[in-house]
Amino acid sequence: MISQQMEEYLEAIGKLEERGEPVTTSALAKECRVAPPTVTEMLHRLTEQGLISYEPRKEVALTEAGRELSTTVIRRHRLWERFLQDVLGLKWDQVHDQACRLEHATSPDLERKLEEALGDSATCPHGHTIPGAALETVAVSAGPLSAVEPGRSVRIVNVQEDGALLRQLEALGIAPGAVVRVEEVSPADGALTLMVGEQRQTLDSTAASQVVAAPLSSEEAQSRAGDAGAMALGDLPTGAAATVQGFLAGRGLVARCLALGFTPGAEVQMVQNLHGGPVIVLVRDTRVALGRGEAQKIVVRREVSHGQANQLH
Amino acid sequence: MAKPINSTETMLQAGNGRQGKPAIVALAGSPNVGKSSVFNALTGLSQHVGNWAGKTVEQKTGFSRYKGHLLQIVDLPGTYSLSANSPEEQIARDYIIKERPDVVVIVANAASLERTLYLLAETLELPAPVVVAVNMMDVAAGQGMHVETHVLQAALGVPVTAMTAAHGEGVPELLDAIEGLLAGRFHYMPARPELGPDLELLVAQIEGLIGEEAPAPYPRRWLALKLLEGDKQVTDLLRTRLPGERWRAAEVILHQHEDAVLGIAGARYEWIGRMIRAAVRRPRAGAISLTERLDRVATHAYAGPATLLGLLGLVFWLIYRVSQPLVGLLEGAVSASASLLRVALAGAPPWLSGLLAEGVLGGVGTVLSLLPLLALFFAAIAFLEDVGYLARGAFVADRFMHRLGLHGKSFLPLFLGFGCNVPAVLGARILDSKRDRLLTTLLVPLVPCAGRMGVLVFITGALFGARGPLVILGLLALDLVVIGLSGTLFRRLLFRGESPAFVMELPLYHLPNWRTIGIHTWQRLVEFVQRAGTVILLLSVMVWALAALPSGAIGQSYLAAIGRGLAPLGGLMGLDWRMMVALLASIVAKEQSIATLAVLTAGSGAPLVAVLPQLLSPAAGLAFLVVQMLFVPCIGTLTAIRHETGSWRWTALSVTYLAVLSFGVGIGVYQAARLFGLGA
Repeated sequence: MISQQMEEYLEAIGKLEERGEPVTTSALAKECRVAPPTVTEMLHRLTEQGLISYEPRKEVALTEAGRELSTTVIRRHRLWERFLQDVLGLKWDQVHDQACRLEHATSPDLERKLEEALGDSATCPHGHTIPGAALETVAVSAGPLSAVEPGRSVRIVNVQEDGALLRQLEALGIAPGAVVRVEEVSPADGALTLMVGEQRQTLDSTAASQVVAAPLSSEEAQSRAGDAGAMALGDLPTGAAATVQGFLAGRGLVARCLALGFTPGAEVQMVQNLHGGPVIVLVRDTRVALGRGEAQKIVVRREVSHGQANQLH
Repeated sequence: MAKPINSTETMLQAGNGRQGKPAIVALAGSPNVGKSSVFNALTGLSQHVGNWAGKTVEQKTGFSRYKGHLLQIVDLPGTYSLSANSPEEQIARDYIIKERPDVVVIVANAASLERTLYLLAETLELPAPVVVAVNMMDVAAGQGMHVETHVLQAALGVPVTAMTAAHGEGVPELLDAIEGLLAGRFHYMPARPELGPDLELLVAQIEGLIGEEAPAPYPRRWLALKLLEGDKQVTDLLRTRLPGERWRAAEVILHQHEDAVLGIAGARYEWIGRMIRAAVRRPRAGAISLTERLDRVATHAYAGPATLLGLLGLVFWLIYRVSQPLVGLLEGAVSASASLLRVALAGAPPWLSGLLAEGVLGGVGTVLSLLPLLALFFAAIAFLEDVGYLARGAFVADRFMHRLGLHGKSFLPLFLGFGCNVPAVLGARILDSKRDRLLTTLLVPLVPCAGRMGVLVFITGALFGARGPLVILGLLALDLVVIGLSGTLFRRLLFRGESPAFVMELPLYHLPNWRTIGIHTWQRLVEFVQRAGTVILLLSVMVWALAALPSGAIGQSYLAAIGRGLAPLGGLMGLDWRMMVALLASIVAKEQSIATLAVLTAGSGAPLVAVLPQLLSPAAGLAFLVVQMLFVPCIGTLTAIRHETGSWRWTALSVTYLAVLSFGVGIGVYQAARLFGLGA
């Protein structure tokens, strides 16, 4: 018989493994909020059940049976979190504790029903992957936000389920999927200055270390509004809209473009952009053909409509 | 719409005291607003075409009568703005500022009102009474757009009228608005394009520094704006006019606000946006316009070039299909008159009948035989331009013309040069910048025209028999390489520096306006006959004299003497003096090479096809073909080059380049062919 407590421990081991942290007695004590001797006792019982292999002063490893159980519990936990937020409308800092209780009382049938109700959700509200979901996302080269170099834009992958942290992040507008730009890191206390959308925010180093972020693909980095964002008109793909920012050209070309309506702030739409050769742009109800060289000299900022933004997420 | 006339006298009294003289109405507008249609609708056929003083930009003036009053209509060049970036813009703004027309009509396009009113925002800074003619109401309606001109008029405080000049609609209303303004019946209170507090402060600062030193007739505020926009001409003007200290102070401000040009243009557009907001009804979002659908094909990666080649092929075929019989008829008529002339002059000295029958009538024949071709060519180009396709063709061709340092539009004249070089040179006028026009004009003679091709085919047939087509293909490949290299060479040596920007509006497609096309074609034909016709006649007589004098036989003529003088040069290519004379004769017309050779070899008694292989070794034959292909063009083309460049120097450069190039490549081919054992 496997108790609720044992499931909690298996879940904690699985999550530490997922984060790539060493699974030690002290780490587990911290994760389960108990004293190390309690952990040691439980580890012995789990070893007896054949769910883990454990020797004192060494790392804990799940056995095949233990891994299966651990994964199931983690999946049920995250499905419940999604359900509580998406269907019942609970806030993201409330769902974790509720899910902790519900996960142990979930039958395989109920689990299946939850999955059906949620459609194809791939992560919990905090950005952690739901094991076995149809769309498992793998964040390549993701790391803590505290380690991101100033000047770079990153996408938030996930955050730890700490109530206070979640409330703090929510106030700042930081959630999985959001793109933030690290402006500077305080040399004194490691606090980060971030651009979240158009807002400048600060985040202390402890909180920043509990947020996992991944670099944007270069294409994405170019096409995102709100980050470094400025791009050459010539790099705007067919169909995309943008606003003119400025020019990297001589006065003659600038005057010509201005008279044709390419003024800063003017909306432009790329009508046709093939590889090489001139492009066609719609500006102020007029189609204008621009040579490749000329299009590279006009700086624009891409507009991401809501439809496109959702596709990106 | 018609307003009552209070006084028929007042109109003539207006207009800066030009009593008894016609009031001057200047037409200004961006390209593609249908300004030519408005001009034609206002003036009918009472037009005079010339050039603006000292410029190669066309100037058209005409007259219009309205309620017994005479208006002189001056068509200003089409410009997007009034900066001094091109000769066209320079002309338009100098005219408005210095000539002080009594009314400036800004022609706008209802389908892109915002952009075409930019010129209005600039013009309202000048002390010129303005009428806005919103043209192409039909095209806008086709796009689901509508412009309420009375709303616009209320916002702008200047007369605004709606037009579809292509159908002659709105002409009386425009004339009425002009007359109303001249007569002082319109409460003229033009809105001023405001730039926002920051920029206005800046303008006021600069204005303060200009002070009383503003050189007449320029308005001070306009000068300040142009300084902030970085206008080179105004900057140079004020640098010399302002006291040193004040100029330095101004320079500091200008330096700090280098990007003011962006702000000014942005503010003008913002102002226009406010003015037109209530007046323009827009279509539902997402409606797909005709232009959008057509462009999906016309500018497509593959369908686009296919469309371009297909259309140009069709134009090519039509021009020659239709003009050939006409040319045949005209040539028949010319040779018949020549025979008649000879009979009539039977008693006169032979040189006189030769001069008239061959020299003069030959020249007339050349001009006449070109006319049907040119008429169709001008009409075809005007048609493609009028319906809006020309810009698409240029867009498609730019992909590869760009690599030669040429503008996409150059493709059209170069391609049509395969038919005849004369219209190709004249067609270079569709290019917007002088550099592009010159470059294209210099390259056109390298495109083998139908006449040249005739000679090449005849000679390869005689010399190489079944392998002839291969030789022709090889020649054409060589020609393309030479064109590419020449383009690069000219660009490096003659047109150094930045190649001009490819920024071109793609106008909305619309139905052709046959009247505009017809008038354009007629004007260009008349211009050609007047200016080029006489030169062709003179050159034709000169060449006849060289070939006929002193004895009447070409073998003993001055031309033959020149040919003999060139024999050492010919020797390097294996060509004797007769071949050199044949080349020189091709300057009259390319086909003359064959006729001349036939005359010079008549002594042998055999037909030319049989004589040629004895006259030319394969190596020499190849050299002759190459020289013939690249040689100095015919009189017609030379005259066209002189006409379009407006300079004998460019013409001389073209002749020299082609002579050196053709002989150089000819010698190279001959020597190389001998190395490969094709000699003797």
